[in-house]
Amino acid sequence: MANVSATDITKIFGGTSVLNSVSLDVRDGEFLTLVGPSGCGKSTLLRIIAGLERQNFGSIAIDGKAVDAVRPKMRNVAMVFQSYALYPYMTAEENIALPLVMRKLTAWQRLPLIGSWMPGARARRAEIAREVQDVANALGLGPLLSRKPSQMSGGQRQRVALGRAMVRHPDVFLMDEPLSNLDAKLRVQMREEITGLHRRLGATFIYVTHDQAEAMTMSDRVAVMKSGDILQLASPQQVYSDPENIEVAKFIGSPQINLIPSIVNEKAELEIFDMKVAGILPASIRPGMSVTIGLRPEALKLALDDSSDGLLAHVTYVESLGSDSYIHAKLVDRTTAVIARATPAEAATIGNGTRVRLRFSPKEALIFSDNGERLRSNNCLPILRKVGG
Amino acid sequence: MIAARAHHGSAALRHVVLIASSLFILMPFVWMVSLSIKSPQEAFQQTISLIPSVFYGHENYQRAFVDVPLLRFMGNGLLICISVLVIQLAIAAPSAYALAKLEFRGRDAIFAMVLVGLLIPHQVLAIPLFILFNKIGILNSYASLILPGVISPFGIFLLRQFFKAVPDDLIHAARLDGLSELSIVWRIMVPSSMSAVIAFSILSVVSRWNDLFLPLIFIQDQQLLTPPAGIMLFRSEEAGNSYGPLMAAATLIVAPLLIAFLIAQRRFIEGLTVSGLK
Ligand SMILES: Nc1ncnc2c1ncn2[C@@H]1O[C@H](COP(=O)(O)OP(=O)(O)OP(=O)(O)O)[C@@H](O)[C@H]1O
Ligand SMILES: [Mg+2]
Repeated sequence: MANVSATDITKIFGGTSVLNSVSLDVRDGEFLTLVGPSGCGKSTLLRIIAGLERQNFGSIAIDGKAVDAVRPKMRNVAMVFQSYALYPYMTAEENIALPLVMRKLTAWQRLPLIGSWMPGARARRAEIAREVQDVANALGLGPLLSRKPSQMSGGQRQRVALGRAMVRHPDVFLMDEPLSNLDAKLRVQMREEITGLHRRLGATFIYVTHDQAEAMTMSDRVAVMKSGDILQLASPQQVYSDPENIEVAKFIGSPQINLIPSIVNEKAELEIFDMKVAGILPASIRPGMSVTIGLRPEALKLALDDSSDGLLAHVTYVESLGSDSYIHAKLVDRTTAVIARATPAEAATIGNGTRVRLRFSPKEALIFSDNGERLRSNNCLPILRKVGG
Repeated sequence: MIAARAHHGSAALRHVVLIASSLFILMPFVWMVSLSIKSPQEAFQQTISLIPSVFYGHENYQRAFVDVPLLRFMGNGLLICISVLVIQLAIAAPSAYALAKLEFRGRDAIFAMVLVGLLIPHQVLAIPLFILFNKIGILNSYASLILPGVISPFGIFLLRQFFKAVPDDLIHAARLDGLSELSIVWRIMVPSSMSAVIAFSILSVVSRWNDLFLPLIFIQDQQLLTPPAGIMLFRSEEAGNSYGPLMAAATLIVAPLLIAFLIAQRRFIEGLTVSGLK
């Protein structure tokens, strides 16, 4: 078992920096997810940890030892690729066996035809076959072992790829979007299987995805990346409810967080269109500053009563998902779009064009400065007032 | 209806053209086989007929083996073709892998040199090679027939095009699975590009089996001749009346190639068409 640490990793491709001095500490046995939009450098970081790509600066250590000069096969990490990367002309069994064949047999014993006559080769081959069988049983691959990858479904190939990674009992599993080619239902099922595998094996998992739902449900900790930087590294709950900056807030959560422009007035109150919120700003904020308020869809409560306080909005679309409904609406400036979560009962009373009030508890408002930094509020009780009230 | 008929018309025309051109190409072969079963008198008759009036094949084919050591020539040819092919692949596959998948300084320049190598006809090198082989004393030996052409720019080029299409992830997976770079070539790249390897093998064997140029220049000893050079011996024999045996020998020489090609036909065509697209 092993912890993995990356220190100040910088990677430059043809003059542009793809990773900007990224540092990351993955604890022994942890399930850590790298999440971020396409092209932010997740796969590159994973390949550098595996030793498949060389960083320009910085250092990787596994189990406390620097491995920068160590070749991939000696790092004792296994990787599952987005494309599965199964050897197309080998059967599932041969695919899973190859890492063991390369490690346990000598070059002579590996030779075709005459190899099996070399001393000791048969015993070793039998041992390998047993281990492959164990892995295949654990993954429910038994009946598929003699098939080639082209004769298997996406989910089955995925399992073979997992099997090939598991068979050598690596300390660290690196998984690069292993579920992205599967259909929605299978993906949910495989999520469970992979987390189950992690629990059983107790190995360190570094998992890449651009699907924030995967990141939220599977991980011990999530590292949110953007343009070659790690923006925040924290538990899934924390990156959701306590994001460090606006990019993290925007990336995590579906539907996306509502972002509403606002201005600080002379009394250090927040003015959001016709609404004023006092007491949630840090003292350092000066009047006249513009900030952005972030509100999760479930933080917005629907109120039909026109006289009550809250943000005035016009409903543009009601999206019903069965258990929940999402109310899409435009605020009074007619450009700021927001989404509120409602129960189906609430949603039934609303149609396109309905005027509603969206209320929220100021505690749940996340405040971001113009450059995207999170501004944490003071602890004093907020006071809500209507303009002119 | 009209469209359908026009379609049929153009399909028929296409077939007529294809059949005519293939007959045109096949004719010399058919003529060769026909001559190989005719008697000498009939071979020199003015009238054209494909089927002989008396079947004389038995005598001709027997003389093909008796007059010259045809089996010996074919053995020589086989030995040379296989040696050349094995060395060509042993050199071309790793080179192609390096050119397709490894990053190193000067890669593009080296690939440009390979392309230039494609353009040089091997006859141009005959005189320098003759002098060189003479100096190191391997004229008139198997080595003098094998060594020219063991580095095949075409093989390197063809395999490189195919290797480029192998996904990087496959190579990454192989590196993690513990394969050395050479194992990656032989265990991953070559099996993934089998059609190209087969296509190249056929082209290489055919051109070397049929080659008349190298044996004529480098070989004096009759025992070392390859089949095409060997059957030249029929010509120098007394009067020119041994056409029958000559054609019989020629038929026997072409037969193994035809059989090999028919067996590997599908993969061969795959190999060449895919490379044409890239
Ligand atoms: N071999 C390469 N040569 C040049 N640029 C590269 C190379 N590999 C990756 N890049 C660039 O580096 C950036 C990060 O790529 P990377 O594959 O790490 O992104 P990613 O976060 O994994 O994205 P995705 O979610 O789409 O897989 C991209 O802009 C990409 O174009
Ligand atoms: Mg990627």
